[in-house]
Amino acid sequence: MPRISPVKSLQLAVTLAACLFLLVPAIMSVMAGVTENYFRGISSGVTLRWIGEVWRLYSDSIWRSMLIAGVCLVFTLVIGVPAAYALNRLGGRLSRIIEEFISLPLAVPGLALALALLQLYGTWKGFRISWWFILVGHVLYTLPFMIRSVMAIFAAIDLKTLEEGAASLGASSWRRFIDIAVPNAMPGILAGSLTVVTLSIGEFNLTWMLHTPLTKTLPVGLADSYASMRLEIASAYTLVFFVMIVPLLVALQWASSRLQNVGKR
Amino acid sequence: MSRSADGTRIRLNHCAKTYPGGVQALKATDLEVVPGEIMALLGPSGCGKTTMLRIIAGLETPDRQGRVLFDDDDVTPLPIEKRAVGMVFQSYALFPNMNVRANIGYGLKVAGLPRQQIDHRVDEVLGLCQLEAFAGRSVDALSGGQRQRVALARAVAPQPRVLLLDEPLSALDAALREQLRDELARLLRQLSITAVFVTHDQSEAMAIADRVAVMRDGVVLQIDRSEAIYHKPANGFIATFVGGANHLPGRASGSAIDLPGGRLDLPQALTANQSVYVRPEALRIIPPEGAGLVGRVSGRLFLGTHYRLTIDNVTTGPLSVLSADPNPPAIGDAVGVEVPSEAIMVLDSDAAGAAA
Repeated sequence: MPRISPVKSLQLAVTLAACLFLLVPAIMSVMAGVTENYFRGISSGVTLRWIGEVWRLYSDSIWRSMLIAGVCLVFTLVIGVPAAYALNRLGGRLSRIIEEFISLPLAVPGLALALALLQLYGTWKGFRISWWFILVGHVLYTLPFMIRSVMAIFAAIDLKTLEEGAASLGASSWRRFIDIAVPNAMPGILAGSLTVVTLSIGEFNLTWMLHTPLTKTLPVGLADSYASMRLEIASAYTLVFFVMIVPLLVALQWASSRLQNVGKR
Repeated sequence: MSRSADGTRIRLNHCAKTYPGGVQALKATDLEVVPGEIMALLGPSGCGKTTMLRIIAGLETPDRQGRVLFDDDDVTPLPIEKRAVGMVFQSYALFPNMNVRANIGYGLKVAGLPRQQIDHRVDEVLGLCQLEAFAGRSVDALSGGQRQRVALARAVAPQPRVLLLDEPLSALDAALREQLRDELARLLRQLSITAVFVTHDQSEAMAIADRVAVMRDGVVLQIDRSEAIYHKPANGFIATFVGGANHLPGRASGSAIDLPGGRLDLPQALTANQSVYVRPEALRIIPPEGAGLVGRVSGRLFLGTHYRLTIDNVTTGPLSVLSADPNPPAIGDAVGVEVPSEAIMVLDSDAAGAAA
């Protein structure tokens, strides 16, 4: 067996300790969600009962989160892609100023943004108590991610020259957008879309302020379950949350590494 | 210019271009490209050649008084997509989301031609550019030379009124560039379309173009056939930029100049702002004894057909001599230099001294 130097073994130990530090709480939580009785430990038996309970109590929150994420994605696509295209065409200082302005909701704490929305729309009762209200917050919060992602790819593929090429062949600006800009920006649009969906499904700060008992979302439901249900149910909820969010994160990683390779061709 | 006179006449009337911030990339210029002619815009970077091409294309608008005419049509207010120009970009700007066939057919598709007609024309152009074998390829899977051909094929497929090429060969490596230069010259002649191309490479300009417009600092200095540009340059800058003539900045005394290496008799006296220029291939190396001009060899490059010798002390800078002698003098040898009187070019000095 090759000897491992003291420095190497120390590195290994620190790495393992860090992994455990990160993983143990998650594993404990997941375990608790499938344990018959958390206080008696895993020896009390393994069950899917709590997951069933979560579904019975919170399936509407889960569906609502998916609905909001989906509609949020539609809005960010419809607004964000043309906006990125316009900003790319505009170019220069003005375009950077506008981009910063659109990104402001990221710098403002979610809480403050939510309060602003409440002040503005709080009196429109029908709107205030519908999930559309939450949607507005999510669109505001996720739009800059879509715009930046699409602007980054427009820069990477040198869209300006591609468009000049298409224009020299007689294409109007609408055709250039449809035939050239959008298809070649697909990796950026995909990465932006995954970011928007992941952020929307996981968003808590804003949503917590904007929700009503009838418009809970996935993470708000999670907080609620820890506050008012037995620990096994809350833990099972965490498990459900993981199952929904981890594939999105993996897909996001894949999409952004693909995005990195654009322009290196 | 003996080719058929089909194609469009391009005229620029008083076209200048001032960018916001006051930089004048092109001074008021008149230019005429006759139908079917291939014209090169040649000059160092920043001379305004690309700006001029983009004004013809419709990618830039000239300052107020400028007019761009295709035959008798004033196209000045038209954007590029309405001008029916074919353009080959320096980076080719091929569409990565389309294969070779779709790239070439795009202009025809945009024009709304029926599918069958598009296929027919694309096949024709693929054949012309010898690209049949690559029709189904992704543009990412092409070599540099193939991309260049696709870019050209795409530009000519919709049968544009004029063809514009922005440094079409500069993205290629040296060996390929020479081969494709000949191919491009052949293709452009076959197409018999009015073509304007921009280059900073004088050999490219002379090999491809019917006429060359030499530019500097936003001004067209001379427009003429390649041979005339080479043998009868309008000034010292053109003599040095095109073909690398030696500048002999000696002190004039009567109809001769005094140089560090000796005295050179001139066929005529110099006026105040004139200088003497000689081409490297016109100079002859002779033994130093009794020679009018003497110097010392400081460099010797073997170029295959020739040696390029660098000779110090003849003039203030190094003097470049092309020698066909298979046994030229070695570095350090003292040599004489003979300047045949018919090789002496007396020209307006290159005041800005942009080229050495």
